[in-house]
Amino acid sequence: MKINDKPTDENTLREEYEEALIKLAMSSFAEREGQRLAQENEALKNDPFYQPSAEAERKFARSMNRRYYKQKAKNFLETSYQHFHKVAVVCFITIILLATSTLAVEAVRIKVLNFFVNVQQQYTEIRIKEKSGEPSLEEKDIVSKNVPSNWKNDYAPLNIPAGYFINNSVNGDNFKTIEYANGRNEIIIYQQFDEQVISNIDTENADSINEITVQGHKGLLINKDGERTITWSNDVKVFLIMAENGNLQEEDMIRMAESVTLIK
Amino acid sequence: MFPVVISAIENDDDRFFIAQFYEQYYPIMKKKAYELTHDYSIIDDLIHDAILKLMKKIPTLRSLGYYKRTTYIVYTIRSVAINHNRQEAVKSKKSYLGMSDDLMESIPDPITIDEVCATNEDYRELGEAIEQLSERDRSLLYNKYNLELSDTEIAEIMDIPINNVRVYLMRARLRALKILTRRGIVSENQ
Repeated sequence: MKINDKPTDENTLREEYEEALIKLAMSSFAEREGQRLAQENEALKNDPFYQPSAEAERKFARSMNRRYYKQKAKNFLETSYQHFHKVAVVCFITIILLATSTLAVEAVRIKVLNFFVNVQQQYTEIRIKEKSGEPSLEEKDIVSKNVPSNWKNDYAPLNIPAGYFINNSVNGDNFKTIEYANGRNEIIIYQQFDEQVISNIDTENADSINEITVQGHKGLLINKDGERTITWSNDVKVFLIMAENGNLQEEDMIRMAESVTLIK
Repeated sequence: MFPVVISAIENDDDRFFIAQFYEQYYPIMKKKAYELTHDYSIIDDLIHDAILKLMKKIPTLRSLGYYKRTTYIVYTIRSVAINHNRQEAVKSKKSYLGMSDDLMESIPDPITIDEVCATNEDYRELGEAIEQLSERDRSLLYNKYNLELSDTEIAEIMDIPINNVRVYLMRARLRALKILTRRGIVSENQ
């Protein structure tokens, strides 16, 4: 605050008086102007042209949500940082004490991967997250003509809808795809993801999103614009089957999903 | 409706406040933004930018009455639209016909032609007196006293050299006081 050396100086008092008067006048002006503008706004509300479009509303809502959560995250980090120094010391000592015994136990080192489905506004995030625990993998003897010959120790569907054949395939380290096609340019895409891989499924404005069970595991069946997507995890991998064919029945896709087997 | 979309995710007063805001003031913001830009294709983006600015002023907005809040919003969208025009002018390398230094001087000062007889010093008359000022003086004073913008921000919005902001503000204040004096709200010997 400004300190006045001469609180009773006439010029100083006059300046302060004039300043206050201007502020008061501007406040009054804002009130009067607002009255006029509010009337104008009320009149415009009756005109559909001056209403936001559905797209504008959606865009606005998305932006506000993004901004809001970013701010929340920022607030959280700032709060956390304030307590960080105290917590860090405690954590450091705890980690040192536990590290030796923990790393020596075989069970803890074995990876068990859990399936996370995080349905968000615009997409569904699917990923494998490591977690300690006991694995429960079963080996099965599978031979299939529907699997690319260079696929070993990978999962693949064995029950492919009639008329479809392998059109293309990708055999990545953590990400594998088989594209099946029929003679009518209709395709089915099968994908499997390894750990560390994150995939987004476009679920924004989906026609339907249903929970289903595949091979005893929780999954999702998403319908959007004639595309059907099934996704699930068997605790080892995440799978996705997508059909860009409106004629393909859901039952065919689920049957295909149920047939996914480890190929030795 | 979109406010439900926003509030459904998490019940938060501020978000709901802003969502209501958007819905309530969209018409006037659209109109005022168009008056300055003459381009409907960018109006939604400008309104969006204005709302982002207003989000930082939620406590102030909450403290204002309905009419003052309306003025606050309109002046905010105007400043955003003017800023957009300025940026577009820079992009197209054309000179911006906004509140440039020369243009500022060329705008006639209505104080020389308006002669209003009034003797009552009341709140309403103070506001009326400000209405006698030129638009640029009102904008300067509004940005300074109501929006509480810094000199730098005023310089950007009104596209005037920052070194001149204080001078222009001082002149606007003097002109306002002159009107108040003429209307008898301030005595001449004060």
